[in-house]
Amino acid sequence: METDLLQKPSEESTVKRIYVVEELCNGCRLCESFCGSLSKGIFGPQSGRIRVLKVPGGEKSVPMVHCDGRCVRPIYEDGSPTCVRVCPTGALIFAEQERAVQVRQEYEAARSAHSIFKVVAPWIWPFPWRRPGEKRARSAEGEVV
Amino acid sequence: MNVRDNAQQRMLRVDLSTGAIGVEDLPREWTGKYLGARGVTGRLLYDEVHRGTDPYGPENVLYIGTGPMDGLPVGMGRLSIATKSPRGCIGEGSVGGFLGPELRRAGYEYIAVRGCSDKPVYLFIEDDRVEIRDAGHLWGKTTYQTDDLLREQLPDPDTQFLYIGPAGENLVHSAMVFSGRDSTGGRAGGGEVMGAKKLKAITVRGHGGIKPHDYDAFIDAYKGFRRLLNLRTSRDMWTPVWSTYGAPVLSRLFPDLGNLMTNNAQMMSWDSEKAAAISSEHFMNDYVSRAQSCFNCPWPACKKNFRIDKGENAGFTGGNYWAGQPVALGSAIDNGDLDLMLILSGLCNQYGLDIFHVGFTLSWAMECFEKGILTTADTDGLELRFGMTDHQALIDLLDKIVRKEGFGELLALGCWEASKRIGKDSYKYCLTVKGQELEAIAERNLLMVGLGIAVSEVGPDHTRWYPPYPPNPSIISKEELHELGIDLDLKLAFDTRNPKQKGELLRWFTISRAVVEALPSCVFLVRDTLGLDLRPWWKLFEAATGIELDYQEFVKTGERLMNMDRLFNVREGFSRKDDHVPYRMANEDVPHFGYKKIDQVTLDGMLDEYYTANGWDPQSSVPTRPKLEELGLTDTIADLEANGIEVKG
Amino acid sequence: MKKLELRYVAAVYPITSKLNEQFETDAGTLRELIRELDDVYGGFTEMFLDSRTGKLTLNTMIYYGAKGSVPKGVLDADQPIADQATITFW
Repeated sequence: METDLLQKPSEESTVKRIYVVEELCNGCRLCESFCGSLSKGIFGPQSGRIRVLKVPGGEKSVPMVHCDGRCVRPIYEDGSPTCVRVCPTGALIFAEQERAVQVRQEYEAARSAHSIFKVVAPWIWPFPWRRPGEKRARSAEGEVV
Repeated sequence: MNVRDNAQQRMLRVDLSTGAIGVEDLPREWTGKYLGARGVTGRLLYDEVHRGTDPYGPENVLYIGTGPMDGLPVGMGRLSIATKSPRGCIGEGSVGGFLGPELRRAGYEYIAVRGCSDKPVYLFIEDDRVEIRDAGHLWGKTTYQTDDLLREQLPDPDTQFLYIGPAGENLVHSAMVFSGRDSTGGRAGGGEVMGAKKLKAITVRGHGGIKPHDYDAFIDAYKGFRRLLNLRTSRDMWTPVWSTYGAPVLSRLFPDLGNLMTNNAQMMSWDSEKAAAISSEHFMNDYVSRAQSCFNCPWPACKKNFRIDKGENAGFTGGNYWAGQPVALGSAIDNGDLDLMLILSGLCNQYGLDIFHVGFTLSWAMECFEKGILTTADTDGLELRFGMTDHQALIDLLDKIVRKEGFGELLALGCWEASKRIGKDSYKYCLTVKGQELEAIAERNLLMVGLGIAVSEVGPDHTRWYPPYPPNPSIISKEELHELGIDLDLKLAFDTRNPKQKGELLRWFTISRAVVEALPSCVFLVRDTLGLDLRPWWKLFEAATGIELDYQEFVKTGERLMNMDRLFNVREGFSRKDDHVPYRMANEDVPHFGYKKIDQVTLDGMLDEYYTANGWDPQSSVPTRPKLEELGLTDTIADLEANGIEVKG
Repeated sequence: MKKLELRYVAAVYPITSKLNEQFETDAGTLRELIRELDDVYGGFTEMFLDSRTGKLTLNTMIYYGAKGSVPKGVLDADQPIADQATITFW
């Protein structure tokens, strides 16, 4: 179903979509592999809804996706979007627009505070960490996905 | 669309002397007998590259191979690069990246390159279309320049490249092969043989697809596999750290354990400030720009790209700072400057040099210089000392090594050959086995590692048995191990300085890692119980190929591979005498920590145990007839005997 | 009071924001030390002690080095700690 991108914000904001945190993409293409395999069980050709754009020089990879997260045949029973679940760094999040903007801001703050978040998302990181402005470390509060 | 049958492997044959190109199906039964990648290239090498072949000549074959599991999200893009090494032994090493899946999608698992071209060429592959093309415009270019030039010519971002740098072109010892930028491998001769064949690069684009034989079973097995490697749920202390901060973290622990080779391994501990200066935390804070993965890897950040932001080298970029550099370009040469380390490492990648060759040959040369064996007359006037502050001189040396100019010409031979030329007992300071430099892991504190380095058929290669540590005892019981056919006394086996049970332990590690590499998959992911319990791999293999092997048959493919490697070597004349440790490790105790040298008696005990456990003759290390029968390799016996090798039993 | 050399490696670094420190404590065992560090920094108890079993977690490691000795990996949280030990949290 094509979404009209000029929908009013109040309608748009209640729909969960897949958003990309570009800096976290390591170019592994798990998202592309799995998404493409869901309809016919074939890995390889980019027949899915997510594609990873490989910028020449190997310096950067950018997932490109326009998807409401409802996989044609999700591999996880809870129906969570397959690409988000298989992404190893947490570069893909499944959220409503407002939450996605928040996550983005939180990510940037976390990354400034701790360099480890250059390569892995705080929501994937399995250990407690100290939030900027707080005295003591604590673990992730809830899943973003 | 062409969808591959994962049980049927295909090989592209190319002859660079005649220009002939052909395709052949491999025997179907090989997939269940040898798996793929190393398993198959090892068999091909034995069958097709005969005793006494000149490694640089047209009769040597370079095999580049992936296997039935690549292109699926378990293969990790692994490629085996196998050939006869200029050191005379089998030369096999693997590399990651993205070329393996693309090769499978093009319709092939293997490329076998025979012959030598007169002029530089590259091999172009796009599905059925295979061409040998002129590479004059690429010859002499660094790996980065080659990557850029190829991308200009073949702009489709899914076209994958394999290439060598100028070091390979010039036949510099231990030159590397690259599967894309900063994705290095094949140090046991791959780069040199490609250079000798004047094969600068291979480009691959494939439009087919890979389908598991049973998709649902594959997905089910895959989810279990991911759970063992997930940062949160993996029951392994190395998983969260190795997969993010990375192996240079070891610089913060190994000095205390007596595991860090310093000043050419004269000491096994290092100044703690220098160790902190080159640590992963420092690297992550000040240099890392982003993570860079291999195909479908479940880990976030094994490789990381870096950029130097400050100082006179600001703007320098590179990738893949891992366990080797803190040792070879760090403690071994007493360099605690991370900028210098990253520049040397980055330039090695651009030139196609092996960091272990460079680091340990430099550390050998530094020790020789400090002992007066080498003088400024040999070193083009350079005062070559541990911890030297003339960083530019070291950087310039890399260029000289690639060009084989001046002092670089000696260094380009590699440490062992250089010591032969210099004489004066300088061989005592070579950290080499079978003419190849060591890697990063200590030996005298970890006797299994010492044994593993000694017996490795390609020269020192830790990936053949890596990782060498025990799992947490609470995650697998003795009963489970017994069910899996592992009857080791784990406590004794992992008593690292007790020589008992090391042969048995090494045997198991070698077999299990061989299975993983042959699927292919990445031995870096052998964590949690995946190194002891191979059932997750077995389920994935069956779901992918439809080939039903019972578990012990599946595990045996690893043992078969281990034996093929040994057979190649014994046919070339290698035997027990070539399975040794470097002179220093055999003759010197570790200062301060007191770990004992691995003297001949100790080594002999471990070798006896290893060979006997393997069913190899303890004197010659040749696999015995009963073992070859057990493995279905009796077809090699006539050939061995014709080559003067006695097969006992 | 015991004087300890504490080292914080890799994943512990985003908790403490420092790589090492000299630490004074009366803690008798590693378990007690972990609790004390948790009071200061947060995060230690959750990272190193399994809330279900009370044992050390399986995806972390603590290396304990008595003064003058080579550090060893710890499997028991109730291991006693001595003055001037070097303890590495991994």
